[in-house]
Amino acid sequence: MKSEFDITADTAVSDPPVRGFRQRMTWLHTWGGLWAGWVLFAIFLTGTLGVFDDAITRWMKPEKPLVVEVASTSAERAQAVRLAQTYLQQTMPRGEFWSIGLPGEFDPAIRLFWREHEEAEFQQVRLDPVTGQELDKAADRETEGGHHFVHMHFEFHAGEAGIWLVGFFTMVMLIALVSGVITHKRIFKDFFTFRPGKSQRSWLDAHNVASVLTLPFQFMIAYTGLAIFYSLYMPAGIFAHYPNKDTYFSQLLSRPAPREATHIDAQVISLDKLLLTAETKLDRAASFVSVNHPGDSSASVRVFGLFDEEESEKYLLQPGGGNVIFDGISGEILDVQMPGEHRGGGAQAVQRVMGTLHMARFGGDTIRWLYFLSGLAGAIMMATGSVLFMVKRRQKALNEFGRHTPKVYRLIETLNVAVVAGLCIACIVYLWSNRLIPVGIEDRPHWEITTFFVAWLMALLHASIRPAAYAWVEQLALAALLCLALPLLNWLTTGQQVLGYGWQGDWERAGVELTVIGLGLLLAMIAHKARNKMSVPLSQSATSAAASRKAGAVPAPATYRNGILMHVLAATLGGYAVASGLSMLLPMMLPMARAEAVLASTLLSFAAYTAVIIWVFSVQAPQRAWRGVFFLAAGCMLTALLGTTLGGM
Amino acid sequence: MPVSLAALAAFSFAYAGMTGLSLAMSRHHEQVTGRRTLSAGRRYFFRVLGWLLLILAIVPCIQAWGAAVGVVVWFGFLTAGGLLIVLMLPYLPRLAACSAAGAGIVGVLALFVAI
Repeated sequence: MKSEFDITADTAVSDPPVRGFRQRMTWLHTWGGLWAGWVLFAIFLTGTLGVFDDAITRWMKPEKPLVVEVASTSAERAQAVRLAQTYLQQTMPRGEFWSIGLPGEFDPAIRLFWREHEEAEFQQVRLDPVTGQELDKAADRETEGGHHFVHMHFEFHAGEAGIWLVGFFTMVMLIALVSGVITHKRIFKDFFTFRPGKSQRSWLDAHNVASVLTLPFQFMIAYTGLAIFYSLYMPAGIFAHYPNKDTYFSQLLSRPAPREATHIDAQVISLDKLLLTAETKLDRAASFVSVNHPGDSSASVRVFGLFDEEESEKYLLQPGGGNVIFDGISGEILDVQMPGEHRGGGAQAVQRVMGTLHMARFGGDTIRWLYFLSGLAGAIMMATGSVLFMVKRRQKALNEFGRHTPKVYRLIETLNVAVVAGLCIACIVYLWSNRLIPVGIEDRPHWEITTFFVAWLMALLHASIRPAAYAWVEQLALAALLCLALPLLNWLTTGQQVLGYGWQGDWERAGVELTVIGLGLLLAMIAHKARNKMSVPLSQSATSAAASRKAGAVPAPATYRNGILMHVLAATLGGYAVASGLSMLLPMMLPMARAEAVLASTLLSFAAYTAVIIWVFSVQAPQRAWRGVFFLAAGCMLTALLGTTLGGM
Repeated sequence: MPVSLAALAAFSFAYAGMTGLSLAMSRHHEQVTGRRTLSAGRRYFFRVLGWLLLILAIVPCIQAWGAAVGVVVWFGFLTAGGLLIVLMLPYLPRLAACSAAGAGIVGVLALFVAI
């Protein structure tokens, strides 16, 4: 791995990395991977745990009986909706939306959500399906359950800003994958190669093997992740052809567009009648009712048919449960989508399949376990990449940051420990908090999640004050200990344990506990290896001292740093402009319905974005890169604009 | 075909197939057999055998999960089989070859039981 771009050798001649295409890609892979690796590790580890979100939620609600009676009659469902409407009418007669989850497989209670307006907080409550009384929160251990990991995975609990952040880093992941494949010269020769016990060599082997063997999965998961939020990430195509997203979606899915609030008071019609009408139309039980703008004359009601999860797991293009949209005041039927009816043509089918693929909503437990394995391999790919960066530099400091090098290396070491080992601690502490935080306290789910973040922060603090080698061992050992002691904690607090779960055939809870034990053993093994390594004399301080002694090393000149900045900006902003331009222009050329063409183009634009970024970094002079992206983006956008103007005339 | 049998068969074939492909490479052939040289004939044999087993692994997948889901499941098992042999080769090279042969037999048996 001599191809690493070493700035000290080239400062005189180089604007960003010179030499060949592959060297530039190695540079891109190393630095892009390093700065994005921590966030990507967090996205990956939580996403991997999120594969089993339902099982984890079950484990986190130990009071819940194994079997929940789900079968209900039409009359019972109508009664539940009546109770829900009465409650909501009293609580918030007017607002943005009501939504009513009918008693079902996951919860025998009525689940209500509502919000007054877009800036207000979501409100939720559970009602007894027979009496309509609010259920005692203590009876049901309130928890975010496994969904916490899913929310960490796609938005870091930060709403739309978090989704953008994850999207940005997902793009970096695509770039790291492409540049990694180009960098790796011996993909097939080293396909099965792992040589343990050889320090840097072993880390590189582990990084390569974890990436190459799961490569199809990694590309799929990154691309489909972007595709799920396409209308948020890449809206240019939609806005070039439609006045707003609502119009676009109503065109694409051939259903009435959502109505603007009129601010004229009007009472929502009795929902139980609509429920029964919808059930007759769809010829199946309803599972969910939502009301937009309750209390306003623009109110509309949507009743969703029951979605047979087990049946749909056999398909990638899954048959939906169908739904009926009503005028919320008159009760007039506005739209009926039958169960299994597909809308939006081929492009929408592709987008839906991508969503199904990403969220592992098919193939049952087999796929969940295979995703878990590939996801863990992905997390290992990122962790080994980050560790490898420092292993290389511990042996010989490369002084990329001039006299600041020791400080930057220390920061990287700290973040490596705090993110890789620290997040493992935070995740297992989250499960501990579920058993230790008293049941019935106000905002209980919030406290569990707070505990998760506090544990993570403590890990960061610990990593920043301890020498890296010690921090690694201590944090890995703590994570292992917490994993291995979890069954004991569970037994002490709830009296439940893994053998009992197995005896009752409660495989979800047993699976969670056994997996935690397995991961605990794995962490203990890694901690043990890390501890053995400590006896080998390669202390951090020595490296830092050596690097400090070389403090005279040439600091990166301003031109070099500017050059990199220009490249990064050309790639991110310029590349985004080109992708946007393409998603505006391409729909005019594709021979399909406009809305479908917009969707197809937007899905393709992420590939174009990737290609442009790779191209920008393969070009030596930033000016040339800028010229390239400018003309491409401007060309696409102007042509598209001209096209829409002429088309509109 | 029941899902559990299909999973067993697919994983067995994927593991055996990946092992076959690794034995077609002199580095891993030496790890397992201790022999420095790998004749062209043997290399060819292991490569063909490996590919055949990997392709065979798709049969139970498609039978149990249908064509669309089956192909994704197949990819997943290829990864799983590959990861296992990568970990076996440095630590338990002899057992790798024996277990791969065993896995091939288990796979065939699972297919027959399902029929």
